[in-house]
Amino acid sequence: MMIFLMSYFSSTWHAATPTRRIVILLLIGLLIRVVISPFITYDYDVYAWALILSNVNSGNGLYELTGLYYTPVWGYCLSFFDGIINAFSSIDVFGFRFTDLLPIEDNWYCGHIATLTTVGFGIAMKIPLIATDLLVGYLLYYLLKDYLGNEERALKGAAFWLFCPIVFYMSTVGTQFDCVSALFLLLTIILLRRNMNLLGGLIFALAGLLKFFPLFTITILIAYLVAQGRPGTTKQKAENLGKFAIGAILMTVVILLPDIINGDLSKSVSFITSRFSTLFSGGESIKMTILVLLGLIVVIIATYRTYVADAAKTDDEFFQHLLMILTPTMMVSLMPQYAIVLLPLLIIMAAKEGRAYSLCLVVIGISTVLDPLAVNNTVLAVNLVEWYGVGNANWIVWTMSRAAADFNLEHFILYATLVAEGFALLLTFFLTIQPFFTKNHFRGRVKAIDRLFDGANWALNKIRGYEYEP
Amino acid sequence: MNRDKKLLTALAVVIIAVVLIGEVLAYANVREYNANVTYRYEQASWSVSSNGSSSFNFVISDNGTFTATDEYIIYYDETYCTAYNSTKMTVIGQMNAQEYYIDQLIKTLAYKGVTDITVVDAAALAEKLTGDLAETDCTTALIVVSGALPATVYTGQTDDLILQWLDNGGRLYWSGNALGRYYSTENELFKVSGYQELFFGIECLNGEIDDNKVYEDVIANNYRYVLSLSNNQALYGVDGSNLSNCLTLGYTDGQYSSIALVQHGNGMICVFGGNYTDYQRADLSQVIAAGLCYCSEIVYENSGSVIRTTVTGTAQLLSATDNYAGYIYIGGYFPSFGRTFYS
Repeated sequence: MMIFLMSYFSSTWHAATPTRRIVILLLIGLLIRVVISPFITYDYDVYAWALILSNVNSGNGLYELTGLYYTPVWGYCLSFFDGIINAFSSIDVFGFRFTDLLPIEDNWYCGHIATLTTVGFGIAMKIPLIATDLLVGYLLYYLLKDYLGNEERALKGAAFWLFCPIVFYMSTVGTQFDCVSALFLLLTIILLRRNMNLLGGLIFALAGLLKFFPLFTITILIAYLVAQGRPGTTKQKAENLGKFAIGAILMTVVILLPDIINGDLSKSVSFITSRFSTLFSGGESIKMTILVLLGLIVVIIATYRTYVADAAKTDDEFFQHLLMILTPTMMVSLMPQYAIVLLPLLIIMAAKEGRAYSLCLVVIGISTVLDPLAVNNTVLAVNLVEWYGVGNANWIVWTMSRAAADFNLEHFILYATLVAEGFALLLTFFLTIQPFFTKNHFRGRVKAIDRLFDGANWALNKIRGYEYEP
Repeated sequence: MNRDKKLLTALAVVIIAVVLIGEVLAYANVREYNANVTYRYEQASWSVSSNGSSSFNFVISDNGTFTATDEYIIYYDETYCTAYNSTKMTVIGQMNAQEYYIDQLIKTLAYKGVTDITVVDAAALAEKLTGDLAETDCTTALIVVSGALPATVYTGQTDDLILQWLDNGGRLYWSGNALGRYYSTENELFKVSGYQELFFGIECLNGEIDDNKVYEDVIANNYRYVLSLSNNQALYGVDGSNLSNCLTLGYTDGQYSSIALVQHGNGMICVFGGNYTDYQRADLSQVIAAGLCYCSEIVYENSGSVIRTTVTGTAQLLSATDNYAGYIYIGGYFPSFGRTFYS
């Protein structure tokens, strides 16, 4: 049966037109998400979304009551979904607290909750995220087809995204919105490539206010706008930049205006400010200060190289330097879902430059999903137990306690996945800065440094499988 | 504009529209809820409405001869020492944990229809309680979440103002530490011996050091479900088995419960177990809003959906003259509205 299905699929695939092939990929991506989403859910984050909606429905906005810790963009998205639910659906119960699940809240990993959202509510929250996954998949296909002029690579890029384990997990199981962040950043890039700079600025503001990683790319985007405008006049370049800036500033003001009026601005950006204060507290502050200084050097170099790129290589430098900037920011806090905003850029580079980036992509895609699977393990089946009557809660509580008792094994898996992800991100970063190893101001001055750069080049070329020419 | 640009523009516009419409919905207060209960003879006619997709719960409690509370005061004095543990409660903004707890409690009670709330410091608290003593039947409720009463009303003596006030009908809602274990001044916390006997007549408080979570429902009544109670901590909670006129609800380990309402003279003490958590605060607001007392008994309960309509019903009561508190709320474990109607 399997062989028949695979052979049928293969013949259908080869006979299909390019448009049909991307549709087939999207349909398969949709199918696996739709099949899994009603049954497997990570309890904690979707509970938080229900809490935020109840706060909004009580007339207390986004920040008056405990609930939303992010900047308001996700809160506004949730409010929109709530509007749809209230206007058109019969989803009346958001969740229920199960007494037999209470022990899971005492797990060493304090990210579980015995108040489960209903299947209907969970699906309502996942539908927009699944739709976002498909949209990003299609936009990647569109961008790669335009950038590389190669249909096969474009389809592979879309497939990499649609079937990437961490992407699938976070939208379909985790109900996290990192795919939305990826969408906003990718759309910003596409809009700027199309010289649609006002819209690009508007969407970029949403990207930066949703999750702050895209904010680190601002200098690259500006440098790209200037480089893209060559050999245009200064007035044209200023117009390009001006439209982008107006869009970004306008959207930022519109998004934050209610919080400014209500005096909740500090609460609305507390997700960002608290992260920075945590990172810069105590003994971490020295390490972070050094990393920030190194990061600033990277930003300056990447921005400059994007700015001075030849007309023929503007896009190449653009994508490479975006990845160069984002990769170190991911290494500061190796949360599994954060890498999702990076993945579209990594896919673009993998489609263009082949196996080295593909290796990083595969390692990141798999290692990051092992983290939540190891930590959450059987608790992901709580929906099956409580809403579908499959098994019982005692089994989940017992396996959670066994997993916690095998503390070392669980922690080994966590550390292994963190090391793997860290390695893949580091490798990605070195791949993006490889041109620097070939040609830089330090070359020819000190033999030891030359040998170091040659060694790095040799190792990276081995991984690439070819001699890299910047 | 070519086709690609048109599609990209449309996509960007749709995304922006979703966010901006959501922004309007978040702050425009578009949800409309209503509830009403009318008591007539041995029946209560009730109705609840929502302009969205909602669920409702309705419970009528027979409160015996206990009169309803008509005003609430919350003790908060940042100059006085406290004895609570807030490590597991999220705090946002510049407030300290106790201030944030009270801020959130007031806002939660507001959408549940409890709005006559005043925050008082140690001196004003003493003044208020002294004033209440002059009345024959006090119907004021005092909420204390600091874990320690101020020395202006309590010093561990049998004739302390707080104990006289309770005897006179005052209602004390308590959380944060073992009730009466400490009293505080601006500079120091003082420990009291024999504090349990002062408030309860016997030793009955759970003084464990650990979190002391409990994992069973109180089955003597159905309040755990009709009020969608969530806090399953019993640290500092009450063992009501040897107390007369005590109502335990919520969660239990078979001995101590997460919530207990105990008669004290003509008044009442309501103890919420555990350290500060958002769950504890949610339960505190539910018990206050529902108008429960130590002798409350459920005489009617109903729940269901109210989806862009009005749902009505009639409850059959035990008698026309009993003292009822009918509490309707919307949202279950994620409440967004509540109202209480007394007979």
